[in-house]
Formats: sequence, structure tokens, C-alpha cells
Amino acid sequence: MTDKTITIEILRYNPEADDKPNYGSFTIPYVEDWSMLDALEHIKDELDSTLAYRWSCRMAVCGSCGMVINGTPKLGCETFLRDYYPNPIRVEPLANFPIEKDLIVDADDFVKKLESVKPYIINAMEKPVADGVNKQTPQQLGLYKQFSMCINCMLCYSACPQMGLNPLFTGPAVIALGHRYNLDDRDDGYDQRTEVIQGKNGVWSCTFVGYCSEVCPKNVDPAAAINQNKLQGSQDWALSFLMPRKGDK
Amino acid sequence: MSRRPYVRPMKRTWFMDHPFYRNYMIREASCVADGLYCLNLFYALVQLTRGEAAWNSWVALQANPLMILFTVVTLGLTVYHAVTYFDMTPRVLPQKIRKMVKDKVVNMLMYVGLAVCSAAIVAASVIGL
Repeated sequence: MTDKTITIEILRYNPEADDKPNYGSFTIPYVEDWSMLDALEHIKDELDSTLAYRWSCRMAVCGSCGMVINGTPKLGCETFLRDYYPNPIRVEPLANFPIEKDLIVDADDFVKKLESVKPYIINAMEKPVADGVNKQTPQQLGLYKQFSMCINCMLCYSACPQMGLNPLFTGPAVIALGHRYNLDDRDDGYDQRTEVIQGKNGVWSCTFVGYCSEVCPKNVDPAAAINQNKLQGSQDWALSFLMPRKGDK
Repeated sequence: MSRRPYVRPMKRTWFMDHPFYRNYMIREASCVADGLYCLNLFYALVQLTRGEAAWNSWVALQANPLMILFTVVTLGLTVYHAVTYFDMTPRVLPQKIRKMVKDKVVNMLMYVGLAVCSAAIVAASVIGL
């Protein structure tokens, strides 16, 4: 360890004592290969054991350590102190979510929305075993693969201003996941997802700010998923006049 | 230990907090200038039906320094809107088409379309259609 130090400002909130969140400042040793997660671990181990934050895999796979770092939603595990040194770094919980404690947000609403879009293959399992496995070509896989890379880190929800303006909005990651299953040729659940995806708080609440795709650590491009569904929804609407029996349920 | 989640209010000036949001708002706000310019063009049509003197007064109005400034600002915002809109277009295409045609090609086709439309309008005005 060197004598160099760096200051980390963290938005703290203790539900048992605080009326509103306040910034706490910590000066820690500067180590070139430390990630933000390493810095938070040092603070919790050495300076303040009450600091609360989520983490697990340390390698941008689990999606637990999403936080807002200097105003940008990022994963703590792949954000390095060296990219900010010698300036202080400001760390806040994900925006557009209620704060549970310190950097931990309440994700209940997100999980409910995730369930609502039925993120699983519908009908494929009803095929008799005797019919064999469901085969898929590389082209069929390639169609949806990008949208299946989501790790539910919720950075896109933090980046989306529409999420803050309309908390009922289904949101980028959930719609992208619904799109992923709609694009899967083994799936037969398009109609069941339509109400969530095309409903009042579905894709039409999005104004294509596009910042969700910028912050996505897995290049899912949820903004593309949402806006492809706007085109699809418009097509369905137009076709409902030409083929009313198919358009109406 | 009781739960008491804290909900942060959304600031009215949220779009000032990040350059990405600011650029988005400029893109959206370009429609205001475009809308006003359309009203100006509509006024030109009205003046055209009222005879030569009325039309000439509209033409004279366009030479006003404030109108020139307004036209230049509208042109700048429209170009900015076009560039950002064309960048987004490939991503909106159905995934099946997107997998077949490269984003750059779609982007380029948008500019070709814009150039063709612009050339047609300029040609029509030069020929006097």
C-alpha cells in the first residue's frame, strides 16, 4: 500500500435514524487496482461497519453491485479508482428506486414487473417427450441472443428519466427480456406478453432517450428492444383492421 | 428493525444533470423551432393567395435579421435532429431485418433519402414547378 489516498463520498441513509439521506465522506488508501467494490469493502472492514451495499460475484455477472458513481449508473465491480484519482468519487444508490439503506435499493417493484412479462418459454414444454428436443439454428439463436444477456443489474432503470417521471413504466430490462422470448422461435407466448409490452405503461411510455443502452454493461441495447416493439405494435394495430378476427382476442 | 424506504423526489430540472439528457432535450426541443417555422411557411401560403403585394411583404419579412437568425437556428436544430434520428433508425428496425442489413448501411440510406428529397425540392424550385 502507498501513502496516496482518495476520498469517497457516499450517500448514506439509515431508516432507523435519518429523515433523509446525507453524504458521508471517507478517505481511504489509493490502490491502483482497486475497484469501487474493493473500496467499499475497505470502508466496511476498517472505517464503518454499518455501511450497507450489495455485491456477490465481483466480475460483472451477477448484477448485484449497481450504483451511481459520479452521476453515472455503473457496476461497482468494474469501476476502478484509477479512472477517477486524484479526484474524489461520489457514490449514490441507483436512481428511480426507493433507498432501503445506504447503497441498497428496494427492487420489489422491479421483480414484480419482471414476473409480469412472463420471462420464460411458453408452450415449448407441452410437446410430448417422444417428439424429441427443440432444435434451433444459429440464426434463430442469433435473433434473440443479445437480449438474453441481461443480468438484471437495473442500471438501465437508474438511467431512464421516464422511470422517474412515471414509476409505473414497465422499464427497459423487463421489456428487453419480454422481447427476447418473443423472438425465440420455440416460444408461443407473444399474445400473453402483449398487454404488458404494448399496454399503457409498456413501450409507449418510452421516449427513446436511449441512455439505458449507454449504461448497459452487457450491451443488451434495451432501447432497441423497446422501440422495435413500437414498430411491431403499430403493425399489429394496422393489421387488426385488415384481419379483425386475428386482431381481436 | 423496521423498513422505511426513502423515495427521492424527481427534480424538475433533471435534464440538466447529465450531458446525455441535455442532448436528448435539445433533440426534442427542435420540434418547437420546426413547428414555428412551419407556421411561417403556412403564413407564406396565405400571403400568396392574397396577391403580389402580400407575398412581397412576406418575402421582405424573411430578410429581417431576426428572421434570418430564426431560420439559421431552425436549420441547425433540424440537422441535429436528423443526425441523431438517423443514428437511432437502424436500432428500431425489426430484429430479423437488423440481422440482415448492417446498421451503417441503413444509416447511409437515410442520408441518401434526405439528399434525394432535398435535391428534388431544390430542383423543383429552380425549374419553377
